[in-house]
Amino acid sequence: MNTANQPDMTELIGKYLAGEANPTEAMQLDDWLADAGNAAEFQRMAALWHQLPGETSPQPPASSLAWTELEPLLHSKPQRGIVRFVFNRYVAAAVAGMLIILSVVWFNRRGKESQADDPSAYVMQTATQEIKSTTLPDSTFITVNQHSEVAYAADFGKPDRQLSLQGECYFDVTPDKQHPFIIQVADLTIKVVGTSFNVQEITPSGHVTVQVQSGVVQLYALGKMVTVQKGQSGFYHKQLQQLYVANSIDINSFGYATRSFSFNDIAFADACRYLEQAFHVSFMMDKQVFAGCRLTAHFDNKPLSYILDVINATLNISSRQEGDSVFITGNGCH
Amino acid sequence: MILILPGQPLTNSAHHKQVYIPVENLYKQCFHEYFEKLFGYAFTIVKDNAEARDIVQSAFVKLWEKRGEINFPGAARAYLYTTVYHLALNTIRDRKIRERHYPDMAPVAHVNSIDTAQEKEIKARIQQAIDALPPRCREVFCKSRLEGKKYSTIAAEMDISVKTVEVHMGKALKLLREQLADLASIWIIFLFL
Repeated sequence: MNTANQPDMTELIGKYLAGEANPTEAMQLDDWLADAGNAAEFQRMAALWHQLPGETSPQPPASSLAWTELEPLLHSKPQRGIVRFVFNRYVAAAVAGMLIILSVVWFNRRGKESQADDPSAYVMQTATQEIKSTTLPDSTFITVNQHSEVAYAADFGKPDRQLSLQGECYFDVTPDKQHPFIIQVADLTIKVVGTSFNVQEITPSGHVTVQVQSGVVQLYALGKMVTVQKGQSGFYHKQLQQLYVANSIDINSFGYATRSFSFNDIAFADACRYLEQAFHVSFMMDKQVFAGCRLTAHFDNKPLSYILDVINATLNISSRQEGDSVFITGNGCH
Repeated sequence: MILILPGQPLTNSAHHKQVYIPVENLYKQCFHEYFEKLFGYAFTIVKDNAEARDIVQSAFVKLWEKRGEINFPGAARAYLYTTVYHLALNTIRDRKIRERHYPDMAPVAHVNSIDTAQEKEIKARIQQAIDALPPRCREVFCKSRLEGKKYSTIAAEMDISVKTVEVHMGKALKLLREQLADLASIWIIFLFL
């Protein structure tokens, strides 16, 4: 790319070389340098700049070398803290103050815990047979799946937005940095930074899956933390004592909340399994007849009847819903 | 695409092979990704290799202390650039204070006394190119690049806006780059190999 056609970039380069670029401008320039042509042009400009009298040129140490210098600093940090702790009496005084405050807080918390028997102190959102969607006091939208329960204190949001979950729930969290949104699922803690995601606790195996559709969440368990970004899934496995991140999500698996499905050439039987989970119905069909059927279709917040109509037309089959059962008939696919 | 079904043990599922990314690994990735860029940025402000290295190192130590609160890599990147910027400005401020109180300890400007014939020729060419700049443009450029003045100081001295300083600097760089196009390529070999 030729900077001659980009007066703004030349100005920015000038600013950067003169040491006048603010952090945003520096990041903007570094993004621009990701292009090899731009980087070559910048190197020419920088070479010219450093060749002028009176300035040394930058000589960055190799990042691997810099890392070996940095690493000991990271791990020696807490030890230094302890040394100061013993010898600085002002720090000691501050610690005494902390202990008092902490104990007060602790007694307060004890007070709250003792209210656990009082049902009015907690709000329960319980779904038994049906799927329940509701809005929390902070306008976070949640969809609680069948046989699942979300509980939170009556003073939810003060100081932070804490709730506990058993089963499966989809969250569309309202961002609010002042009041962290924290979910407790068994011994896994999920901290949220304004986002929509699905949490599924699988009993009896005891593992928890957190699939993030937008935003970022952090999972804490076993004294570790993992960050789960948009489009990633976090897994917590209690027995194996493991916390994982996978670089994919399965949007079909939380169709019960979003009513959105994306089937890309998947076996018809698998599509049926997703629909069964989402709508809590059972598909009745002769599995041998439909074994060769594959489905590609996308649905965005559509009712089951609409989805069945589209599938009927696509696969040339007929389906009939009776209560919680869907009967599929036809000649299959070849 | 992964299928998650209740009751399916994790050991048998595809997830077992997935990468586990603890925050420490994200931190290390972040270090290798941004160390040189941040060094370059810090250097433009402090113009000193050792100080630039210390600044970037301090910024990463600060990030380490905050690793549980910051999201990687997006927010971590912004945090690093901002921290480097502030640390660099502090370094310059401290340097000025030190120089005011202990003028004898100010570092002696590096003078390269032995110039080869080729270097002399290059310097003459540069001087010619600078002299050929339009007058205001040349004045801004010399104040910034040769006298090391801040944009805001130059703007005040010449009674122009900071934006105008930016425009003059951009123009000067562009003209010099055109004038010295043949030399620029040689310098890259000279500086980077």
